[in-house]
Amino acid sequence: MKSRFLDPIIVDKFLNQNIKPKGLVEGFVTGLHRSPFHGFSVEFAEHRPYSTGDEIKHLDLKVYGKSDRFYVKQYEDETNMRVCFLLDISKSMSYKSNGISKLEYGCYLVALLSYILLKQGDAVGFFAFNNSIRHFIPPKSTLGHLQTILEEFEKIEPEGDTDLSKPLNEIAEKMKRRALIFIISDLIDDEQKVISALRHFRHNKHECTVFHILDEMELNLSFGSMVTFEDLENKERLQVDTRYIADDYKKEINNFIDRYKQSCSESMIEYVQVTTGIPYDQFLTAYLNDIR
Amino acid sequence: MIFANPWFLLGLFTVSIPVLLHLFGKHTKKVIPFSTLRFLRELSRKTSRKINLLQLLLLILRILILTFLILAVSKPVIKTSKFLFKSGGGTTSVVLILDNSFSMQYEVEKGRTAFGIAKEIAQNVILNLKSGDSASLILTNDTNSVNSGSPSYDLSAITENIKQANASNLVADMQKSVADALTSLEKSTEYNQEIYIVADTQKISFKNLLVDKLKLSKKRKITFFIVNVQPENAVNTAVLQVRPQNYACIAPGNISITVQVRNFSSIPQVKSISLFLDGEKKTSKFLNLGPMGTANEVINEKIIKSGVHSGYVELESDNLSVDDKRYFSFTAYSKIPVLIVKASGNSDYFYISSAIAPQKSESIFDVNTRDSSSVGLINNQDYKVVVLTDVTEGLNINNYVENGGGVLLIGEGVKNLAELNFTTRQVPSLNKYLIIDWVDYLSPIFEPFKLQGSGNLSYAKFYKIISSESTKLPSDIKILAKFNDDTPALCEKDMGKGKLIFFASRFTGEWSDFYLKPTFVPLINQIIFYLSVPSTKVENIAGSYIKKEQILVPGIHNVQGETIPVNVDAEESNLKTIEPDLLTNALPGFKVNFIADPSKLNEAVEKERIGISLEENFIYIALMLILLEIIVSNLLARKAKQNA
Repeated sequence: MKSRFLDPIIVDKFLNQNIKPKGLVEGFVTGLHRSPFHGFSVEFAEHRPYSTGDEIKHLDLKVYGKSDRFYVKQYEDETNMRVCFLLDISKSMSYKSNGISKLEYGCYLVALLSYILLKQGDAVGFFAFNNSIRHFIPPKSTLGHLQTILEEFEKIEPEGDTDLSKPLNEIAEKMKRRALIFIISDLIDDEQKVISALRHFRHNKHECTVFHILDEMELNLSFGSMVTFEDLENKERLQVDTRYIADDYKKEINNFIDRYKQSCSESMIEYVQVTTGIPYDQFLTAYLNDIR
Repeated sequence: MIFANPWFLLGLFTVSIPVLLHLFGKHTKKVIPFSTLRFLRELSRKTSRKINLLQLLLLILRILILTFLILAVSKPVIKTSKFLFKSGGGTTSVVLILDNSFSMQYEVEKGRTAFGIAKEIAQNVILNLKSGDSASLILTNDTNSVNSGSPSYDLSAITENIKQANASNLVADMQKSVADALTSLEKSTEYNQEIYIVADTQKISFKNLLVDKLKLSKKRKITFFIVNVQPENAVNTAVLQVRPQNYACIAPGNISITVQVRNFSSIPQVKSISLFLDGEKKTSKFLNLGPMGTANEVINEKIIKSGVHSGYVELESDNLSVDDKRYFSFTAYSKIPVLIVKASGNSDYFYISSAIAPQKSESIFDVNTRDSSSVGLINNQDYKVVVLTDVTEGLNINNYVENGGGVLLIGEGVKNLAELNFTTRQVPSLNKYLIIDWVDYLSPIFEPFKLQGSGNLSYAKFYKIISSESTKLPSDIKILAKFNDDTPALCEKDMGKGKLIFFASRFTGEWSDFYLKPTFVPLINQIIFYLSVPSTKVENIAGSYIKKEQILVPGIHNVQGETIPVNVDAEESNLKTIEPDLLTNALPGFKVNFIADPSKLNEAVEKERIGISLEENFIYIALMLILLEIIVSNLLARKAKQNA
């Protein structure tokens, strides 16, 4: 398994790492994670009063003998996890002020996380989108699936404008079973629409994590002189003396981040801000330690 | 607004530098692709407005700083109202021309001369100058060497020079003084450039003044203040001329001395004149002088001893005493020995000897006639004058002349002056002849013909003449008379102590009929007598050079053993003032203020000199703008630093 997105040295560091979802996941094999389905598993969970329609075989006769009431037995079962990575490949993701663009950074993150997840038996799926879904790899739990994902990365080119809400809603509709969703994007779009799309995932019982990737320069605008900026998506140009607006810009971008943080928090969506200046393995180590 | 240094205004082009920097400095070729302009667009709109305003303010400040600095070095001056500014603010450059001709010695009141008043006025002009102004002094006759060159800022030195200035005995040359004044102001860049002529405004002093002749490189804004210090109805009488007859006489014998006295005022005068000869008062007379009247008085004096006699005629003293005395000198001879050298067979000598000594006993000339062949070396002691009539060779007269002898060359004898290359020239036809049509009346030999009706030399006809082949005569040969074909008829050459006169024709019927004309005898007498007097002028004007020595004071002077009377120039005695209109015309292109009453000078000056210099004000404004520029640029820099 050779790919520029998966460095064996870094992979070694994450050999013993596990990722556990904070909520419940629907799986198809016995695994690390608790299944939302009761009654088929081996581990008892609780009793509940019998109601019409319950199968009689699930009645706990021992409880009936002791209390003269009908209770049905419920069991907890462990299952594997369905994880989907949604990677924004719009042109704004191609911006880089240092050696690595936001899109590359996203790819590195997806590759490493996919490896960890597949290694622990979870199924990993992948969507790449800009203003629509451009690449899709259905979830599979075999380790060989990682190669498919990595090969797909090689085909990815930053293209098109960002319209996050449309493809996100589309993906939310597609994913019938509950899953852990990682959205990797710079979120440069209408915040209300994006949050609304993210809530769609939550509404469909998905666990949602947003990796908000930004470049250092996007955060502090420290160009220090008169600069003509060209919008990567619509090629619009704007001449700005960054010496005079950097301060206000920083406030504005921090407000933008804060609004996402706030909205995500309210919608029980995990929000993680990532800067391409921090090596992705360092970031991931910190992130995994944080969620453990 | 007027600029003293208008060339500096070219510097205003530098104002375009900050404008260009402002316009093109913003443009950058550096295009940076960026993820989104979403946040920048609004911020840029908001911030840019504020920054652009500050940058525009900075640009305006920088333009104003440059503009005011350049305007300041261009020395701007505005003409303004007297009500706004008490006195002129523009710096002033002044040239004072003080007339110190002898007429300025006129005593206006007891112990106070016109020159004294002129000095007071000049000192007052300097006193009214302020720090930063400059001045220079020009005396029309700088006998004490007090004239300064270009205007000096050391006003006290100029005041000191004015104090030291004295009236001279010379005549004013205003043309030269005004030319010097204009030259000294040539490099001045002051707003007010003024030339003061403090004078008695005599017509005679200004007669030659015409600025157009000065060949000025450029006309500049110069104001003339011509201050008249001569009192109204100034009265002056002067001895115009004292002329002993022929400046020579026979001793013992009589000499008649003609005295001319003139009243230069419109008030009749009765004045006494006294003749002093050899230190003794000889005679006194009263003269009645009508308005602007002239009196000619002939005084006869008996001369006993031969030799040089000198004296003066003194007029009863008036307010201008320097021209009330006139000096003279003459030589008394026992006899003037004359040698006439004749060529064989010519008759010229006859007419000459008949003209100068018709009767030997009565003539002042002791004439001796000899053939050229019998004449050896001529001794100066033996003969005062030698006449060579058509003698062409065999005589060396150079030593004789250089030792003080006088020689008259006639006819072919002129060819003795080999360097002139003279040849005999027949006037083409007998019907055609030449006449003398130009005469230098300044020469004493024409003294008898000066007055109208006293003999016309042009009546004589010349059929044959001797003329030089060279078109231009040497500079030491002075032409005294010319024929009507412009060839010289009578020439004079000074050689050492003596002189030589040559006549370019002969006195025979073949050559001319001059010897038959009434002008012949007096002219020949005048020439022979003139040649007998040593080669110094009979009368000299103060200031002229006699034997390379300038004589400034009137009187009897002994120059290298010779007695020379020196007098003031009689023309200066006429105190008639020039009309202001003539002065204005003489100084075209300049503003001329004629101040008849010196007490009105300050008023006139103030009226002309109302200008305020903005140089200092503009520098202050520029400094304030620089301060403001520093504040605004710091504000921008701080804003940039905060954002960094």
